[in-house]
Amino acid sequence: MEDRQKFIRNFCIVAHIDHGKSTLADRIIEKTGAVSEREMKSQILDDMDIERERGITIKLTPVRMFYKYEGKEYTFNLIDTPGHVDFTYEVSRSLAACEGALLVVDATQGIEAQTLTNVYLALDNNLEILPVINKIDLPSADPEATRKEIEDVIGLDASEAPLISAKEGLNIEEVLNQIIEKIPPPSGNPNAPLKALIFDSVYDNYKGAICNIRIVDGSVSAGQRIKMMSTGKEFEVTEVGVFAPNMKPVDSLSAGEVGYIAASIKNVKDTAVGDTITHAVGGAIEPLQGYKKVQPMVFAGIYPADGSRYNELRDALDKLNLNDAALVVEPESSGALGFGFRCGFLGLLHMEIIEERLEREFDLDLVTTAPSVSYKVYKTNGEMVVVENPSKLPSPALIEKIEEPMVKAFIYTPPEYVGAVMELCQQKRGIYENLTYLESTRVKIEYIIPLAEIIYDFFDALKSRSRGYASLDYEPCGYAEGDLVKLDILLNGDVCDALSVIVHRDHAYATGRRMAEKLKDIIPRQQFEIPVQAAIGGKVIARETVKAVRKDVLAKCYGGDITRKKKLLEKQKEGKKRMRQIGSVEVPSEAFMSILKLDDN
Amino acid sequence: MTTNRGLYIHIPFCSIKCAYCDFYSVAIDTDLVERYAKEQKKELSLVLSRYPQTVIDTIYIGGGTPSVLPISILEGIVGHIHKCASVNIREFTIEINPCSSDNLAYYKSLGVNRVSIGVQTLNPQILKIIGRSHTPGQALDALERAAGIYPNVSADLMLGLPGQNVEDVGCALNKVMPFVNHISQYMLKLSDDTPMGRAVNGGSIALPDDDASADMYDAGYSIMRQNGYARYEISNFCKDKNYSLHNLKYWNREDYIGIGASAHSFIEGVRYENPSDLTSYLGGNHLGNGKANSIILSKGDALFEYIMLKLRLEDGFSIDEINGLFGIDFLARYDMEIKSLCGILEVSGGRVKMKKDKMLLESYAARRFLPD
Repeated sequence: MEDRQKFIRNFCIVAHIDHGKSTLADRIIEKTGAVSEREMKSQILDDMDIERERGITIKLTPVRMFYKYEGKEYTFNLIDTPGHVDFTYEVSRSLAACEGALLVVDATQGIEAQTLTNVYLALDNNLEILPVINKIDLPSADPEATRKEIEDVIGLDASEAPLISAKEGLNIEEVLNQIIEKIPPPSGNPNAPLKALIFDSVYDNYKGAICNIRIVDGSVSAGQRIKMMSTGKEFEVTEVGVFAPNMKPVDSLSAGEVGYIAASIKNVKDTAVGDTITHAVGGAIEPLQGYKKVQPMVFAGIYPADGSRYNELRDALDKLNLNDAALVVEPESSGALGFGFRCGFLGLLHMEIIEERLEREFDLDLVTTAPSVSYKVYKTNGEMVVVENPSKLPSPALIEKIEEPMVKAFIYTPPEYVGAVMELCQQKRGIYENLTYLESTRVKIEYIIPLAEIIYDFFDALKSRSRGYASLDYEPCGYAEGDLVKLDILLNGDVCDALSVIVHRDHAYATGRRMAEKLKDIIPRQQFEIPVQAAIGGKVIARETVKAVRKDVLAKCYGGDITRKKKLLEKQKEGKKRMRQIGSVEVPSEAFMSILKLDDN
Repeated sequence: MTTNRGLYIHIPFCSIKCAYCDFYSVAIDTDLVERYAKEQKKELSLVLSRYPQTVIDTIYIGGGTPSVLPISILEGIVGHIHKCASVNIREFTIEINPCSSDNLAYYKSLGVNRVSIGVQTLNPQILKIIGRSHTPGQALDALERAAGIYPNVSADLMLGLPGQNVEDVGCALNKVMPFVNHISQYMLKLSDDTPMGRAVNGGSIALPDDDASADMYDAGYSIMRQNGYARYEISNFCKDKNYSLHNLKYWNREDYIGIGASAHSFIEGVRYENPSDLTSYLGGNHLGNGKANSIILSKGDALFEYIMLKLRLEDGFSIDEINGLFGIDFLARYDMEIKSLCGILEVSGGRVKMKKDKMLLESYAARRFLPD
């Protein structure tokens, strides 16, 4: 190993949401002076407004820092990781770029499912894990119990775990010193053929798609030709650099270092996370392990609330797509909603984030349909079609069988909620796999569950049945045949395609009835009575009625104040803008998305 | 060339404030009242000097509670109207609160020929909840005395009050009708920043729902119709065509001058509003000094106002009239809106109006005509 490499430490921080990961990152950046006081915003790694507001990390933003220890200057590369199940693949790639991980555990909460998932990912990647016990300033903190839990559940030695308060800046030096003492420096041969792991990519208006990379072997500098090993596509490097924390060009990057490569790449899809970059000539033969193509799991129709803004929505999705290769966008049209897009997402959170960014950053009002999954429909003529939009399901007479995507769900819960959790899983058509006592106070339950059952309200139901204690993680595990039917909703006698859903036959009746009830409550009363019906293949299984409105009038124009009256009407009309006209019926935009949030189960 | 104009005098004083009221008013205070009356006279003179062709044909003194004013003050104001304006009074109304109705008879000598009495309800519990200080007995007594003095007596009745039901409404109407030839039966419209609005939001008071309020309205209308009262506007009913001439000016978009704090005027197509603040008003910020907030209406605004206001009237409006006034082809221009409102709007005999049983959906209809 070169001397240079001995003074590099690449690490990430693993934690459950809320356990203080971003705050600790802020403190570390502060202590090492990588960012001046003036630039220091709270949670500097979280670039997007949404991230800062929700306290979650979506995009990974690396930072390079310097720290003096026993007279020597060390380079730290901190690679932040997203903390949500939707982004597990991204987490695994950023872990692969590190030698060590700080495991932050909240001294008031203990270990949760997400923490475990990410710890296992870190162990899979052979990372050195440094436990850090946070929030010791809180009165309810129990550092010793937390220490014991880390040892019992994960099997890590936590006897030297620093007790810190990231919020108060307490004992941060201890963390920094342990990073140097305990996390190994990067190995790798700077003279071997180039192998650089892409752990993230972002789009820059001037430089094109930029790869955030960890050099495993070899070195790279501007002017060299590089090759993406999964696709064979070649590019010429225009710039290499480091994150300080903003992009700063350097002459070259070599084994052990973390930085970026810009190569006038037009499309982020050519910079797939997990791919290996090597030299076009004399490059490595074998790529680094672990590249997989990310598949969208959840699909929904996204439409502009105002049909005339279709082009703006298209441009906005194009722009988001540049930075988010996991987002899949296909144009589609709906009888009820007009022209829009069927979008594929990694999960529900990913979907919510995209929606929020469209509304916030592009000022668009959206109508979003209920999320769906991707079905494989085998037709009687031997053909197989993939159906991502329930209204496109072929007629039952033409269907041989339907297969739906399944996931393996891991649920961590205190033992007293095992019964309630298992009951929920059974209700959601789960197939029991395994139950393990991790310790006397914690059980791991494994189920195979149709993804479609997870994406609406499973997480909320799980939380409410376990008083918030249970946590969930899942991974895809293939397709399985299901007895599935399309449930249509008729408003005033006409099918509204944007409200169709695919459900299991045994649940169809109950779901149809609840959807009709829910719509009855959501749809405002209008001048006519509106029948709301749920139907399977033309057979009505539930009916509700939105009664005609009887009173919608303003008080008399007292003292001739006509202006106020007009303003009130304008305000009311503004409130009605989020309505979609479906035939003769006005339906609030949020109805389409919320139709399956059947909160009363 | 003269122009008939209505005159509204706003008296923003009350002895107590009702729990549902969000109109501008303050507690009565002798010194303040005198200064206010003085400023009103000044404002009136200045406005009339700007529009010298004005002939006042209706006067409406409203509030607040005009009947809390000392006689001398009212006398001064009315005297001033006669001094500086050409008047040809067809209707002179004053609002009366049943618990300050001692001077009821006296108003006649000022030329008042119509009184409007704020009965609201005759259910004593509900009167208490809504913060009215009078009793049902006081209200009936005021009505009876007024009926003996004035040719035109109107009663204000409210619907949709906490704990109110169809029986309450019928009971109040039956007791009130012998004394009045005009009734305003209007729905409570609660704004959030009133004591009652806060109580409702906080859950300590429950209001009847829209269907229950609509039932009360229908029941009340039915009783009035059986007793010879015709509806001419959503909330206004009268016997023998004894319409409120002054209020009709609001709905017909005729000119009126509003004097006083928070008063509104409509003169030659422009709307004005005085500040809703006594200190600012007393400081001379009013129409008289050209310091009222003015709203110049575009043609589109005026057209919308016309539709919105006329739809409140039983007879709606004439298609020929709207076409002539605004140079439009109403039926072509609003083809889509008219079709989308076919369940509640009636287009027949050259007129457009709300269907008889859909009057309470007037705002629903009007919103469709709002310009984008």
